[in-house]
Amino acid sequence: MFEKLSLRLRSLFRSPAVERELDDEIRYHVEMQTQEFVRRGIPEKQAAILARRQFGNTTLHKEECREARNLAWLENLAQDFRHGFRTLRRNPGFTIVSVLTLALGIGATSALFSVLDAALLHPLTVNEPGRLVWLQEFSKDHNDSGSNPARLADWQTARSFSAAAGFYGEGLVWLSPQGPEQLQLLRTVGNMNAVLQAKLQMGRDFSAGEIRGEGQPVALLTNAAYRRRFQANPAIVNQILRLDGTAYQVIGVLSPDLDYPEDIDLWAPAPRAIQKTSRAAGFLGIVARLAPHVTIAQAQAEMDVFSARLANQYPATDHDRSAGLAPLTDHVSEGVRKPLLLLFGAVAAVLLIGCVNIAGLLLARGLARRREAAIRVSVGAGQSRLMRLFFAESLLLAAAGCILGLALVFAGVALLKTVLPSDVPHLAAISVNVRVVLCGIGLSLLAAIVFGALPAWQFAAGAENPALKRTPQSRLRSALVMAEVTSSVVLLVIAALLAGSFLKLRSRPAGFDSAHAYTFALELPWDTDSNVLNSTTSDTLLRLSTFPGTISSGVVDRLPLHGGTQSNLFVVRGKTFPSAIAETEFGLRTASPGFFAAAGIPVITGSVYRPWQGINGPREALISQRFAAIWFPGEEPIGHEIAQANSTKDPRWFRIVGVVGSVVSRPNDTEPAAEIYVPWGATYWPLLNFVVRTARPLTDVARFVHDQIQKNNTSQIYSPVVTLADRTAETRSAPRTAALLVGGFAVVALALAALGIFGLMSHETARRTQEIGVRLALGAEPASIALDSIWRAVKLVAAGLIPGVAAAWYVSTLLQTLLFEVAPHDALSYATAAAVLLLAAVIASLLPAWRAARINPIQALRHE
Amino acid sequence: MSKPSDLVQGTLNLLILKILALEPQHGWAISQRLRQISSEVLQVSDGSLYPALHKLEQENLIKADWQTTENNRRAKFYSLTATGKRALARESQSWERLSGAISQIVRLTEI
Repeated sequence: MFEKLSLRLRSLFRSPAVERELDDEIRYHVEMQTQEFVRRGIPEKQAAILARRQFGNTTLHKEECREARNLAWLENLAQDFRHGFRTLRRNPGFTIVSVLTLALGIGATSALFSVLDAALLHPLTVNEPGRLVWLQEFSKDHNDSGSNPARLADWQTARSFSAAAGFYGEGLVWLSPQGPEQLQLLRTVGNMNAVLQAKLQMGRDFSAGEIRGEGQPVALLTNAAYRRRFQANPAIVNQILRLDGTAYQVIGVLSPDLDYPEDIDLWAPAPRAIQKTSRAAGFLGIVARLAPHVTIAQAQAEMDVFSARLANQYPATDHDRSAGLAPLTDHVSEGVRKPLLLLFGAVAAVLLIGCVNIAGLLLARGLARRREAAIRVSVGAGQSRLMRLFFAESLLLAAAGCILGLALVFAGVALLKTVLPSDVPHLAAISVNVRVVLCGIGLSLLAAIVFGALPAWQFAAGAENPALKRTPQSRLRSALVMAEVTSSVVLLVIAALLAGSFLKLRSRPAGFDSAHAYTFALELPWDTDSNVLNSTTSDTLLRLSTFPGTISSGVVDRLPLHGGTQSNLFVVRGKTFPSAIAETEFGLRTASPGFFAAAGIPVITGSVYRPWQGINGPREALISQRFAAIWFPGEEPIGHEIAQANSTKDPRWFRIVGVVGSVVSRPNDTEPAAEIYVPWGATYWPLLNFVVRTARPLTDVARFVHDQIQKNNTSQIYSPVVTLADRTAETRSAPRTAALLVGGFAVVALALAALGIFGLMSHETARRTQEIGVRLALGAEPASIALDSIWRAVKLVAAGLIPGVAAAWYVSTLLQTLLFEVAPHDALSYATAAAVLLLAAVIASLLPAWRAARINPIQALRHE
Repeated sequence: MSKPSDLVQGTLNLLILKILALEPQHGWAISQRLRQISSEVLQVSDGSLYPALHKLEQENLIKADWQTTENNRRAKFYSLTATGKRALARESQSWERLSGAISQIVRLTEI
């Protein structure tokens, strides 16, 4: 086996040019020898035979020549590595620290790369993902807005698309043999498979009629649901699934390659009624596949023409609306791109700093090994051989770091899966694939070059040229430490900015009181009959009120900080507003009267509205303080009547009966929202968020909800009960994770930089022993010697601060969108980072300075 | 005998270096010179010269380049490198020490 390998190796090195030269050389020799024999009087034919005989076995000699070439090369290489290995083994401390530094750096960077690879580089695995676009509709003010089937039908006529389809999500309850389970259903409008071009692994696709919502309800299982919920049993095809009381026939299973949209159990065409919704609705997401040879810019131009035409055609609903196209891959990873790149940059910077530290150590060792280099040169080693010798050590270090680092990747990926926010695409499916391993190997090679090249050059050059031996050595190490400081500043500044931003976010008054408040949710299908919806709601609220200890309870469409308000124009009876005020953004929410007390939202003036009693009952509304401040400044808002502006002929007027405290509605809003509340039931909304206020602990509430509410209602699944604080904090988990991770990396970077400073200063002290001895002998104070030492470290760090601050200045501008109420050039963050580094410099140089001050002048001079 | 013994191999390298120290030569000329100066004592086939040349070239003791000979043929000329010159000085020194020591020992036994 070994022979086979060496044969293969040799043929690997065999180049045609070398072979030809070898042939030419031997032929020349034989010809010359033949001529020589001829000159001596031997007949030409015989001379040729004789010459060849004297040459010997040509093939054998050729092979020996090849061996001489290749093996010499291989032998040298093996020798270099053996030597490197021995050197490393002789310095176990250095070797262990270096390998661990590298392993952590390479492991962390590769682990993050696996996330980048899945979430940013390959966010979609469907056929030709680059041809897929996300169609985003905008209302006036460029607010994102959902589409509807009628507009989708218009988009489908666009020539730029080979296919377009819409979808929305729905949670349905399936009574599985193991008990009720919630299934995530993707409701499709139009031919979704024509867009995604996902093949089925079994069964058949939706028919044209089924796509329109006609006939018996049918469903396609996704591969994930097929495996997880049905144990990959093909018998499921053609079976009937009862979801929320409706029977769906499973007609097929989607391809395992299909990964969009994520976290879906089955696809089913939207019911006929939903497909006929008016143009005023907004609930569809739209994806389209570009027609062949159409660019996204051309498609966008067609969209703009369409929008203008539709605005003319349907002024009531389509006025001021527009549509924008974005590559679907971008849309999928939109929110996570910057945070992930930031984390990757941070971890790569830590790896870089680690490499620089190792380079510093190698440089110091190179100095100690000057004699060795000189001896090697004197016995005939060339400069390139010396460099190779030294570089072999670096390669060995990198290889060890790589192997250990790749072992760490698995732990890193597992850790990242738990700490990263769940909106990272493919988070669950992230794995250590070939690309990740290649990335790790590439990083190791790169690291070897980064930390090995300079010391190798210095080792080789210093040996040849004695003039190079001393001064550039410390200058090189100073430059390395400065580079470390620069990278650390960037990380520290970013970490400080993110931490400041997170603290601001956390301390922002959100306008509600989450202490002693608990919440759980219920999602009903979008075509739930409104009578069923209302009875479910009132039933649940009634049961909640029977819980011993309930202070108040209510239901709301969306919790504070959970964003997404139904925004629309409205009018106040008998009043007109300047356009600046009339077009101010506001939110429309719907909540039961008990919600305000349950969530701790204070009533400022007036009182809470009465419960909704149907279309003929009283129509009352509440407004938030902020709303009152904008639309009714210095005026009593109670008693005014408001209505949605687009309910054209007979507006449904709601009388304002009170003003409540404002809450912050979206996670990144700095201002509380201007909002109108209408009673639960006045608008249709099947996603229910219940809030209970009670002095009882969470477990009691959870048990009550499970035993008294969930048990009596097996056809619907309530989400687990959590504290309102936890639920609303979810929206802050991403900034918290980013701040924590970047902060952690910054601390590691700082420690490494301090270590680098410590190493350099210790070395400097040792190098200056004689100089310090002379100074002390001439009467210098030990204290001033120590201060001088510290001052040198501080000066070094200060020099690194300048490019570091400049780089941080630039990077933080890019990250502005990640910051909440903190300016990217926040002086405090920069000052903190600089102060921390200077402090680190002082601390790192304390021990070397103390040693310098304690140098005994007599010994130091005698040393000379 | 196609492959020289170890002892001869070591000396062969030294001889090649020595020959090339005088002037750059191509392979055939080196083999001619080897025959002449060793008075045909070194019984090596012409072919075994080449692996030695290639190994020395790999070790950067000699370097090779293609030149035109006086009768207008292209031939591969070998010459000493700086490293080769140092190696030659070193090797000849140790050779002299070694051969001196050996001949002394040999004479000792003869007495």
